[in-house]
Amino acid sequence: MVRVKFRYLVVNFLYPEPSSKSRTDLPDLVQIHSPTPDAFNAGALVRLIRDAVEDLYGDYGSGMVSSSLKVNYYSPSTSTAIIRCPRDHYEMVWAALTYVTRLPKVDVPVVCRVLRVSGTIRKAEEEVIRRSQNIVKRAKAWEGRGADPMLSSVEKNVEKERKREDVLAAVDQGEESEEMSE
Amino acid sequence: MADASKKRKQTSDSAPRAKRARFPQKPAHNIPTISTRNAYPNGEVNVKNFLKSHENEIKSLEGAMIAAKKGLSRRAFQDVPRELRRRTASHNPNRVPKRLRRRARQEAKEDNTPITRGTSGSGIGKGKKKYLRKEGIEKSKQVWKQREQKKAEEKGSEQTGTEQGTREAFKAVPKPKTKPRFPSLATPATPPSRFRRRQRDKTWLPTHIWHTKRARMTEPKDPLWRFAIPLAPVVKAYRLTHRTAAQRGAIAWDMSYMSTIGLEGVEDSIVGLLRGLRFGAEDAEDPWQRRGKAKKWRQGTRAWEGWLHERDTRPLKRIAHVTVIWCAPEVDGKKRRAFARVHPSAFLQVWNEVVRISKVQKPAVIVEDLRFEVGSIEIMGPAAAETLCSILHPSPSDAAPDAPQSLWSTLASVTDPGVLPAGALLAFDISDPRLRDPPTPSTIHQDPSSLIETLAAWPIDSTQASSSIFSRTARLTGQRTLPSQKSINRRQSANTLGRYPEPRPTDPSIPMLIYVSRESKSWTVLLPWKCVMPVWRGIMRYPVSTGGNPRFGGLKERRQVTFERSVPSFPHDCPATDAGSSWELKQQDVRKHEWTKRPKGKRIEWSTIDLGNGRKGEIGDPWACEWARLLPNAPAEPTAAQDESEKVVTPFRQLSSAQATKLLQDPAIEPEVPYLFTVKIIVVGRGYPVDCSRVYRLPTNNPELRNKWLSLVPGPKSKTNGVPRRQQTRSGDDVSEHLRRRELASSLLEPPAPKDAPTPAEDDYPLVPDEEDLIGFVTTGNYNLAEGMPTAVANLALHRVLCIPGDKAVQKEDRICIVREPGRTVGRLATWEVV
Repeated sequence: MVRVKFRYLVVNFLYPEPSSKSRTDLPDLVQIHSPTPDAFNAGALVRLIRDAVEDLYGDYGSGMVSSSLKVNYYSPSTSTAIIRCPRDHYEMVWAALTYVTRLPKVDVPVVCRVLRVSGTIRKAEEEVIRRSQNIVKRAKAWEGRGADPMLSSVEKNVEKERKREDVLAAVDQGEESEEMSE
Repeated sequence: MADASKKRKQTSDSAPRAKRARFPQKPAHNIPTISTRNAYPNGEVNVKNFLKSHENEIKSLEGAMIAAKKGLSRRAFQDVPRELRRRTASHNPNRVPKRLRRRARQEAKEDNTPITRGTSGSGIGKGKKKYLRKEGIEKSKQVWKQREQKKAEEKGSEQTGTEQGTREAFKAVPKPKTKPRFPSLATPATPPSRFRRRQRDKTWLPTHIWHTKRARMTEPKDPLWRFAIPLAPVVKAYRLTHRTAAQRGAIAWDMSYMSTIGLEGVEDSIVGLLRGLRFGAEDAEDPWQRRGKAKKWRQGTRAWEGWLHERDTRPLKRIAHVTVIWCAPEVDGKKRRAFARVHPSAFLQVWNEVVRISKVQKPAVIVEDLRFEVGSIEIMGPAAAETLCSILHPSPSDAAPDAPQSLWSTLASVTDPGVLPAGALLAFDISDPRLRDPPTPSTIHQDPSSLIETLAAWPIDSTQASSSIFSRTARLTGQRTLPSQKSINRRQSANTLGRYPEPRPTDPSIPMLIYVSRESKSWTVLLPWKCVMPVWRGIMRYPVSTGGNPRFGGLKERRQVTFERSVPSFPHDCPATDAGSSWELKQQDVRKHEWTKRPKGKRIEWSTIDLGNGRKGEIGDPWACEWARLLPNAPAEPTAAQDESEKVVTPFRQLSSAQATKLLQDPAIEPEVPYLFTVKIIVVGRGYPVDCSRVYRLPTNNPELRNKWLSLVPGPKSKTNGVPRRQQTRSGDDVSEHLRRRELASSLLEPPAPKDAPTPAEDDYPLVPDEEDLIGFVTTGNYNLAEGMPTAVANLALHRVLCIPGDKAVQKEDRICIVREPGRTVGRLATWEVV
């Protein structure tokens, strides 16, 4: 029997905007990787993807993708998921995820970011572990020194660049927006 | 009316439906996750909960990976390959390892498997007896329950004062320390009470329990040299051992049974002691020179292996093969220390000699028995160096860049210990290997030039500090400060990011010494006795860069490895030493027992063997190598009454290979002392020499028989090389048509080819020579995987080999011999060469 092959997408759900309920001053790292509300579970995720694929690719897309769609791992507390999809049409699922702006039941703005596409679930799990370790390291460093080392180094470099070339164009805030460009 | 069509009742399912699939086709892959409500109680998002939730995620994913790797098990035990299986499967949760018992009980409950308490051996009985005793069993159960209740009550109210009093009474009164006039033999440390009874007349190796689960050990009533030694692993490992030692991987032995004798004194007295015992008298290099390797040895940077001989005997009689290691001289001390490592079979003899000669030295040498204080592990194979480099991590200390600690990690890429200087030695303190568990593969540096420089210059000769393994306090401290496994586990779990725990100042620094032996191509690690187990476990878990883990071996594998190099191993192949001959006696008993326990119809009847020409019966004891028969003035029948004592004094002397080759080239005077020398025997053609096989020379008194034997020798033009042509593979498909025709024509025209050499099946096969042509016996014979043919290591008597009419030296054709297994009537032609 021929083996049906899949691709496993490692997906992160990022929350760039702080929810109105937040009281303490959280580091950006923790804010972005906030946990997902429990109401959005694995089943809701599958439905979300199916609807999005049907939206984008119609009957053909949903026919190709929806039968082999499965959520292997979904952790609401860390907003990470491993999704299985057919090998030849994984881009459809990827595109569908990219176009998701809000979680369906809970109206929270969200960014779905695909970290890795892999052929085996083992490599997907390893990737999740690696990213988690990285996050833990950065968070620990932030805790220890009050500043995220990665972010602060990026900021330092940007400052250096800016000092070198002060011919950078000043960016106006909000003067021109896409809606008004017509 | 009842339904006539359904006369037969529907049989209900005999077995209850299993709640889980018995043989799942695709194991369910379920990774546990934690919901947001549980990870962030009260809905607050703070950094602490964030960290914890991510760490939990890492843990659960790693667990999922491990579970997927092992395959989901069906029961509490797994279906594992043969070499990893520990015990037979069982549905009784009580017969399953302790840590799996709870799980097995749960599974049994889920599946509705009845858990019966075993009744074998109990008085409850089975069947009829049990039925008749039903009421009585109930009553005794009640009585037991009441008794337990009463005991629990009593224990709660009992005073602990009485217990303490008894405990104090049993505390051993420390003996007053008198200056020992005669150094006493050491006793092993008292083992925990549950193992004490089994170690009354033997000692366990530090890794005993690990070995018992994986290897066949010596019988409990029948220990070897008063140690419980693993004989062979449970898994069949003849070829695996050969491949591991020769090609890829590593194989390790727990050699803690090798006895160590500690010498302490002024350098000149120790030198005088060793010289008196004629240490290294037969070596190619003189260990008492003032320069070169001997000087480095006495500085404590090399190990020297040589033979000890008895005092005041001429010619020299060997006692044992020892390795002597000096301690590098301390800065201020005049006292030097040395270790002498010797095989336990010869320990007592060596000990007595050393103690006697130590008293004669002025000033006297202090001799200590360190058998149970210093343990060792021996590792062989191409991956040995990288294993040791990863497991033996030097404890943090500031050391010079040339010191052994710093150069140690660069030696990981060494695959052949022969590239290191002969007898090279490194000594430094290591940290507890359990802190760096699971072991990571050692990094092999890509830059070979620095390694080559190190090997060429060997700066350790000048930077080796005096090793702490020679001092008792350092050994005991290292042993006593070993933390418990629990505390190490706690430290490791506190460290979640996958790195090793930070070293602390309270960590033990274990003294260690490692030396290389060129003749056995192995690394030997000396450690304090109790520290051998953590290092051994680390070694067995190390992931070798070529795949798998290092193997372990038993006594049989150790002998096999030296046999494959055709080197005699002490004491098995050295019958000219007292240790060797007592080993031989023991083996005789073993073989005799093997023979007697077989039924009469299925064993060889020795007395009726027909050796042809009217000779019947096996020469001497068929279970023994009868060295006594080779003595020049031996009686026809060996003296029946041997001493009952274990100690056997052999009249033979052993010749080293250099002396043997010299004497064979040009036989000097007729030696009056019988000499033995070791040879390697290669069988020509077919045949398989076995232990105890008899070795004959070509018949001297029967020229016709002699010619017959010589005709069996394959000539230089023989294409088949002694193997009958039937066995050879037919090649030549690529020879073209016309050439084949030509060959066929020529073969038809030429005279009929001479008959092939006769096989033993035919009557023409030459008979075995007489007993007076017996020159020696085979001590180890087996199929040699390194050579690809059966070979043997044998000992021959010099006077019989030289005793050929005419005073010429032994020529090439006289190196032919005939080998015959005990009990067989057929002899095989073979060649021998001095080893």
